[in-house]
Amino acid sequence: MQRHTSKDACTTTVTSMEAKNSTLAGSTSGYAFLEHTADVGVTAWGPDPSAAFAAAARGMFAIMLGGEPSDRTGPATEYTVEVTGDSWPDLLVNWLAELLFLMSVEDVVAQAYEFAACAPPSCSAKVTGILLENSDVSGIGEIKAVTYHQLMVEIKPSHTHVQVIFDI
Amino acid sequence: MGKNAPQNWRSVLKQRDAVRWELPASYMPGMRVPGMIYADEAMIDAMAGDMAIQQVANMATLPGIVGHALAMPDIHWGYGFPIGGVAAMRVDDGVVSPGGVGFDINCGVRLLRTNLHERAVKGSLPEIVNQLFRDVPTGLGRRGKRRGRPTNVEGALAEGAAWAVENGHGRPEDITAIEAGGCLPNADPAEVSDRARQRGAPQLGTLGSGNHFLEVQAVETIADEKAAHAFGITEPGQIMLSIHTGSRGLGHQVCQEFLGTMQRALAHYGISLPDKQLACAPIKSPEGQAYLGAMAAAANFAFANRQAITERIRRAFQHVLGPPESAIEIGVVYDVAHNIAKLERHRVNGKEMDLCVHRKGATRALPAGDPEVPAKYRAVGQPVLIPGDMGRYSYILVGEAQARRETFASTCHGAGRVLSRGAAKRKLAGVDIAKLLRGKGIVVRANSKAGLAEEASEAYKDVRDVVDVVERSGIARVVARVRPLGVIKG
Repeated sequence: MQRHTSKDACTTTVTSMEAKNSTLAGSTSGYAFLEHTADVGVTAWGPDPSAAFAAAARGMFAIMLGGEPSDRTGPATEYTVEVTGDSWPDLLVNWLAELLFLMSVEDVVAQAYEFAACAPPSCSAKVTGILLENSDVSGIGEIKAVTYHQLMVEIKPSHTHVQVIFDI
Repeated sequence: MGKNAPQNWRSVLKQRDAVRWELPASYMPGMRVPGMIYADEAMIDAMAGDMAIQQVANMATLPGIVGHALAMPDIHWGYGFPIGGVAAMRVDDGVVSPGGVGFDINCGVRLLRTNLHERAVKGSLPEIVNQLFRDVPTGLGRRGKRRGRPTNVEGALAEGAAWAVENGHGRPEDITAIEAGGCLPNADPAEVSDRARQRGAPQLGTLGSGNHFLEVQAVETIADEKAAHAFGITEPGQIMLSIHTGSRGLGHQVCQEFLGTMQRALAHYGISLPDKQLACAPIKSPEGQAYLGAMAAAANFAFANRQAITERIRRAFQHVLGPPESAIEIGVVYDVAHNIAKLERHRVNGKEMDLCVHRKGATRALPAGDPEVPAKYRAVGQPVLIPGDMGRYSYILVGEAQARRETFASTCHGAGRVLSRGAAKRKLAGVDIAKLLRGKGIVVRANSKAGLAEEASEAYKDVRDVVDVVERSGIARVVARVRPLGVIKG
């Protein structure tokens, strides 16, 4: 498994996202796609766990839609997402799985995340999203689920790095 | 992950013959049985540095595993189990692992035969493909859901394909040509959460995306006249259809929830694993029994899903080709699961055992005479459906007795990927896949150009090589080959 270098198109997307997103402006948040033979993954980072969790979610939606959800327009709707997890990796899986569930049932693509809590045993965030029908799908379409395979959460004082593989 | 993958698997594997490679139990601490990989030399060399064989070793650490941890020739790196992995655990003291089934519970293939010939439909092919694309929802969101009132999925969970037929999606004779009759008897719908039902209800009768597809095909060659005749395959040019999909969001949600349940139960049962995705619980534990009941219910939902799509296909053909209705005959050849865990009885080291056979990207392959083969096929064996890729061909095989003896009656499930999705897109950047296929006489409809590149022929092994290994190992033999005429992708 390798993280994409600056030569890769995915990293260009990350740079673009950082510049556009005021909530992450000035921070070192971002994501890159991970190669996997059958599936695809995301490595994401930020100054703290909530920023890295948000970046991982952005990466997940970018895989499905073929681009940044924040680039898309339409009436926004707010949802409260609350999950629990005994450990950081469990919390990350449950957070992303809940966003997938929201998309699957409500047809909502999450765009912005405002965290009230992000540490085991719970993660809670106000999620703003748009309806999927207001976005173009040029990516792979559906992510079936969030796996535990090669799952990683690394927390340092001013930097959090996460890694997750999705089932396509 | 237990270890890093060696750059040269030949230094680790013991070659038993031209297509069998044993992974010794001494390769990694904790392996309870050796592994066995079915592959030719080129396939083994192509896996240098790849994690798939490492995942075979990880599979072999699971409690209660018997025989070998098996990998079919379409093996490639998955999550937890490799794709193409087969593992059988003793029911008495073994475990069941949702990661050994996969998120798409009972993802599988259904093959339909028609009484139409390529000559007769060639002019209508674009219209047929367009109609199928309209009638069988694909992709994400509302595009990938059925319109109208939400379905009460209770019947689908309990009764599978039979429920679909009773509710107007097909004919009673369809049920006679489905693995397990289209209904796993150990289903326990009460173990399927409301959230899983919420995800699944609008998706019954839909294809999804990723590698799921609906293909209009023509028979290209027939290798085994007797078996082909039994399967209703009559001549080159005969129009066939393949459906590749599974239990949709319902199955994904079941697996996601039970992985969490089993992660939490690992310590209680004293199980340590080399990969968290292998989370498991003893088959006889409350967690194991609940998962098996929910998984079987999700599998039944998948059988009902493919049944509902079958009826949509019939109506689409009728709509395009018109009356008289009786002139168009579309029947089910067979329907196989390739992501499943089933309670089966097999002989291991001369002793009959009750086992839980995990097939993740692997297909059951029963030989002639087996009582579980539908009566109309029992003289020749169970049809085995092996899709290739959208630009080349797919195969119809039949199970052989050797599969009973060494693979728990299992064989491969497809071509197997060789390129990651990103690598496929980079390799095919700027290439118009649909135009390329049109040049070969293949009509394609898809929701996404990027998705097409990721699923292009170049991303997959040549399924002919995979099938060749299967034939040389004696676990299944070729009956016929079909080539794509029309492809619908999510």
